Formats: sequence, C-alpha cells, structure tokens
Amino acid sequence: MSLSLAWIEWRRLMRTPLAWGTLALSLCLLSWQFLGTLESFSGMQTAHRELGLSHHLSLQLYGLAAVLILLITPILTARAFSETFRNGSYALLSSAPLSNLSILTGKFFGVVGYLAMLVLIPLLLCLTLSSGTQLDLGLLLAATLGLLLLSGTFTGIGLYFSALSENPGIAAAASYGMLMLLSLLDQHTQANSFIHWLAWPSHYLDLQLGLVRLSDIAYFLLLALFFLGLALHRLDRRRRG
Amino acid sequence: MGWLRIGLNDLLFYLLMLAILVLLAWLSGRYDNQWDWTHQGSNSLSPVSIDIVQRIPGPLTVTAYVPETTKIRDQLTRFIARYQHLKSDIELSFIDPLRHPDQTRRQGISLSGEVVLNYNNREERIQRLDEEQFTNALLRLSQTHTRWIAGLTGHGERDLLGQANHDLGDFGNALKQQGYQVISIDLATTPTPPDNTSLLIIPSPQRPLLEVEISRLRAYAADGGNLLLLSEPESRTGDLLMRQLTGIKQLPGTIVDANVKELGIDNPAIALVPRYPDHKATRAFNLLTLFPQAAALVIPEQSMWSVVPLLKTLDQSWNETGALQGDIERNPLAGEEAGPLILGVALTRQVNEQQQRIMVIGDGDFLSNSFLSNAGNQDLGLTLSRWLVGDDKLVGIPVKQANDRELHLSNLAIGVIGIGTLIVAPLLLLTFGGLMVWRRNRA
Repeated sequence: MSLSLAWIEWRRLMRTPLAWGTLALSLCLLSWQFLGTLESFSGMQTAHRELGLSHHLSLQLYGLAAVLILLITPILTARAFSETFRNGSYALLSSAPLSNLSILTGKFFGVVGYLAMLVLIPLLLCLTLSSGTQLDLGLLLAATLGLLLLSGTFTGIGLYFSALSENPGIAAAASYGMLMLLSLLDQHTQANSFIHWLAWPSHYLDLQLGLVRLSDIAYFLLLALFFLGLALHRLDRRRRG
Repeated sequence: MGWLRIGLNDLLFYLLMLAILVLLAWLSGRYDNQWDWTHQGSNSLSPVSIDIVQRIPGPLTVTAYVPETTKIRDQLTRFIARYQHLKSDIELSFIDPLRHPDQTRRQGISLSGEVVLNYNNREERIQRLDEEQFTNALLRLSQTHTRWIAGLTGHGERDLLGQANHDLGDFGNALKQQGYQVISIDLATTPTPPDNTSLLIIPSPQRPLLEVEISRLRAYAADGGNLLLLSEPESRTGDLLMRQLTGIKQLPGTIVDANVKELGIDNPAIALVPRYPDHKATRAFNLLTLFPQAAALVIPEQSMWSVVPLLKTLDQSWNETGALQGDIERNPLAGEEAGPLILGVALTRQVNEQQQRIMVIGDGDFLSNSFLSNAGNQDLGLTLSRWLVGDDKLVGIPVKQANDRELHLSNLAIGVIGIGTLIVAPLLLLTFGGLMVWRRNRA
C-alpha cells in the first residue's frame, strides 16, 4: 500500500515545475563543480597528486551534492503535511482506510525516490570520464550510498517538521534550523560524545573516503527512524484530535 | 487538565525515543564493522602493519601536539582509527602546543604535528606521520631486548649521564627512552667494554688516553665493536684516536659556514647540514642539523673499510684557522679548504659475519645539552645510534599509487563533456519537464 502511495507521491512531484527546475539547476551546479575539480586536477603536477581523481571528485563533487540535498529537501517536504492540514485534504486522506504509517512511509519513499535521481547525478558525471582514466568505482559507489542515506535522513527530518506545523514556510524554516544544527554539532564538541555523534558531516566523510562503516550506516538510519517515529506520533495525535 | 496530560504524554514519548536513540547509537559504536570499498584499499593498513600491530600486547598511548583548530586533528584521528580498528587499546589524545607551551617544551617538541607514542614506559616520536613511520615506531617499541650503550670516561669526555651544558645527559636520557641501557665505562679499570655493549661512544676526549687504553680500544674495534667517535677542532687526542682506529684525519681549524646567516644565526662557527646521502643510516631522516664548533675530516684514499661521507657542509664554508672574530675570509695558504667539507663519516666492514659500524663526527657539541634541542640534532643522534647499534631494520611499506592519477582525455572530449553536462543536459531536463507540466495543466 505504501509503495503505491510512494509512486503516487513521486508522480505528483514530477508534475510540478519545482521538481524539474530543481533537477536542472542541480545538474548545472554539480557539473560546474565537476568541471572545476577536473581543471584543478589537471593543473596539478602528477608528482603532487597523492590522491587519485576519484578521491578528488568524491570529496568536492559529492561535498557539494550533500549541500544541495540539504538545501532542497526541506522545500520538498515542507508541503507534505502542512498544506494538507491547512486545505483539509488530510482529513480526506485520513478518512480513507489508510494507516498513518502507510501515509508517512508513502510520502517518505516518494520524496526519497525523487532525491535518488539527484543522488545519481554525481555518479553519472564521473562515469563520463571512464574512457580517460581508471575510476575507483567502489569509492564512488560508497559516496553515492552516503548521499542516498543522507537524503533519507534529511527527508525524515523534513517530514517531522512538516507534520508539526500547518504553515509550510515555518516547517521549511524549522527543518533548515535542525539541519544546520546537525551540520555544526561536531565543531567544538568532545569527539566521543553523543552530541558529536549527532552531526552528519563526519559520518558522511567516511563514505566519501570509501570507508563503509556499520556505525555510519546505523547513524543515518537511526536518525531517519527517530524523526519518522516522532512524525508518526504527531500524526496519530492529530487523527485522534 | 486534559491539555497538561497530553503534554506530559508527549514529553514522555519524546524522552523515550531519545533514550532509545542514545542506546542504539552506543550499540552501533560498540558492535561496529567496516568495509573498505576503495580499489586500492586506501583506508586499510598493509599486511605488514596488520601483522606488527597484532603482535603488540597491552595499551599504547599516542599523543599528538596539534593546535586545536586545525584539520590535522581530524586526519590524525582517522589515521589512528585504522590501527584502533585492529587494536582497540590504542588511546589517542591531543595537546595544543599553543595552550600548553611548558608541557610541549618539556617534551622537546619542535614541530607542530609531532606525535609521541608511549608504550611500557618507552617512547617514540614521529615528525612526519605516515603508515611506514608509525608502523616502524610500533616495531621499535615492541622489541623487548635491551641493548647497552657505553660512554667512555676518564679523559675529560662529555658525560652521557652529566647535566652540565657541554655534557650529553639529555641525549643519554633520550637513548634510555628508546629502550637502551646507558652506562659510563673507564677503560683503565675495566679491561674491555662488557660483552653486551652494542655501541661504545667516545665523546670528545680532551686528554690523551693511556697506551693500555688505546690498545684495548683497538682490540675492541678489531673484534667488530661498533663505535661513535666525536672529536673537536684542534683536538690532538681526537685526531690521534681517529687516525689510529679508522685512518681518518682531521683538518686544522674550525668550520665556518656563511649559510647559517640566512637562518638568522649570527655565529659563523656553526655548520649547517640540510641534506643526507641515500644511506641506511639516514634513510628515514630529512631534518636540518646544526653543528657548532666543528672540525672537518679527511677520508684516507685507501681503506679496509667502506667509507661514506654522511654529513657534509654546503658551499660557502671552510675550515677557518685564524680567530673567529670580525670579518673572516678563506685563506688557502693557511690550509683552509673550500666547502663542501666532510663533517661526519660512516664506516662499515664485515667482521665475524657481522657488519661492524663506526661513525666519526668532527663535533660533539651538536649532541650536548645546550644544543641538542636545536633543529633536528636529537633526532639525528638517535637515528645514527639506531644504525650503529644495528636497530635500523625498517619495514618498507609500499606507497599505494592510485590508478586514476592520470586523465587521458582530449580537449575536444572535455569540451563535449563540459557543454553537454553544463548546458545541454539541464536544458533538455527543463524542456522535458516543461512539456510534462504543460500536458498536465491541459488535461
């Protein structure tokens, strides 16, 4: 049930100019970064290249991709519940024989399905070079996995704030606030503390370097599930009134 | 009241979720596993390192002297994590050299980014951290046999245990921290250096040795004993010992070096050695070293040893025979020779199927308490001692070369990729999306 809901949600997204515009703009920005990385790499002397091209790309291109996903996700998720609360369509949806869980997971996978297209852009850009060099595919796949996990976590956060507020603007602003906070928590905090663990950049960096750690994957999944759990609680409260 | 109950319920739910999150986060760190997806295994250690790390029992602490705000801390943490993955009782801590200058000075840390390893009350330092250096430091720490280093006394030598400015006490302590036993011996009362002496240091004797002492020294050298012989300018005793034991002669005068002026040193009688030949003794060493009041050496044309001039001054240096005051110039008539001059010589030969190693240096000040902390002096002393003792077995770890360090694409191909991804593809996306949206609006 939630898969077909996800499909509906994805199709709904793909019929908005926002989705296509965002895709085109992201491609443009990522390709700009991609060409810039290539240029700085070509400018280096071979002796100074301690890292291969794949490493440079995974750090720079995938770094920008993570920032783009951070910027895009709240816009996509802000309307997921806020607007339906306001125009009453959620009352309609919730009167259908659908559980809150399937509505939530449907929206979640719909948005993640859209973001997955964005996640593939850096990989496709890198693959255009495969005739000119021996790319480290494992490294790029690890970074792509990182981006996918990142979009899942950010979507979970966005959906929670969307379920919290009837105003999409406030929902988006709150999501941005939370995402910024999670981006900065690893500064000036004890390396082994829970607060430090909460920040995403160091977990993502492992994957960018090609190191797939169980604890990093657990971080992204746990955080996504945590916020989805809060969102579900919120929806249940709303349905009960 | 109803509102309050709902609020309390919510609060409890949030707290419960948070508690579960903290618990699972802790569990994920505890039962961690990792896979390196890179082609070269650039996040993993080489088999040599893995073998060495797994053979070390007990806790190891690593202290890094790195300022708080630098990225180097993250890199270091990641680097050490590769070892921690195999050996969980490696503890890494940071000290900010700017905030704790006293502690840094006490440790004699000269470079930011220096790393000190502590294991079983012994320590190793690393300046340039990479897998080869770190693994070799671990290897040295794990070696448990004790080797004895003896310093000759009785003729006004610099004392390996002494605290005066001209003594070598600090260097002796550094040797002890590397796991060596340091003792003083007197050849007039002890007939021969003890059997287990791995290295005999003769640090700048000032008064002549007795005949019997010289013959005992010769016997020690003929038997394959390792020697570190330090001399001083115009030292007849040092010159004589050198000739008798190795055939190396000393030039008159003191080395003056115009190159140190660029380093902001006003004293011309300090010789600078910035480079070292590709020799086993200095293979892993690349720091500047400074030699105050040093004598130049002359290598004999024929020798039963294989002789390598290991320490050499730069051009613009000579052995000044006059007073070291005012304007000084090289005077070839007085036997003053132009640089590069030889300052230290390494000699090796096979004796009893073992390699005998001798090092002769025309200076003892560079290891003295006053000058040991200058530039790379202490590290040179330790590196040379390690080679002389025979602890120079380095495990080589091949540097992983990435396959994709070269990009072979024509300018045309790059142009096509650039225009295609930057302009054409986004425009296609926009057109296609526009069509989709337009069709939906018409429907």
